[in-house]
Amino acid sequence: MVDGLPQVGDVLPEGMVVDVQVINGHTLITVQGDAPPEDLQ
Amino acid sequence: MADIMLGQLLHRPTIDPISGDSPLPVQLSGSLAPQRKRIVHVSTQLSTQIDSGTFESTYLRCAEGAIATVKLIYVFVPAVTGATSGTHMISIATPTPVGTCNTILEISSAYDKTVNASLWSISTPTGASIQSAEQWFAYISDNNLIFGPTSADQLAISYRNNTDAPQTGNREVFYKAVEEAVTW
Repeated sequence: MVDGLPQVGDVLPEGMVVDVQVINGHTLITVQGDAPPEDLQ
Repeated sequence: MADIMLGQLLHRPTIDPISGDSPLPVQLSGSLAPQRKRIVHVSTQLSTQIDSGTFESTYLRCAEGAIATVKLIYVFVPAVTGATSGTHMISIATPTPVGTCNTILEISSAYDKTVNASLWSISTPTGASIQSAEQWFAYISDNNLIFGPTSADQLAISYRNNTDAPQTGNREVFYKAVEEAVTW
């Protein structure tokens, strides 16, 4: 587990986690929300 | 005095200072740690629906104890089926020490056009970001598109649907990176 890997359904400041994939050792965490990460404070 | 004590500590048969006439045999052992690098290909499709006016962000994190440098990238979002107005956009951003992300690339297209970024072409640049395909190519060629294994150094690829219909098409993310093990 890297940096407390989120799970589908977790609610992060960026939004809700809708998908987590591990491909060739890389982790892709997808969240949906109302604002992009660059707008979050 | 220091020479004598060193000789005693090293169990030298003499207390003579180390010199050309009284050398101290030294032997080193061990080997150079191999440089650990690998090429990583990641290719995926995202299929969840993105409602009108909402965002989807995908965070890329490499393997623990490593850093990754993107050498090739392709991000594609299809036109929004059923939409009659508005735009949609992709942004690529990286965290900063103060917590907010720094936008590297922000591109958009009309509702009936695809949005995409590759090494050789990008959709229309918007906002305070890279402004041309040439700048984008140079940014990647100079090994600036890097990310790590944690939320503090991940890379974010975001999609904003500002059209009047939900995005139901598959989004594609592909990249090739060189990953290197790092230790401190």
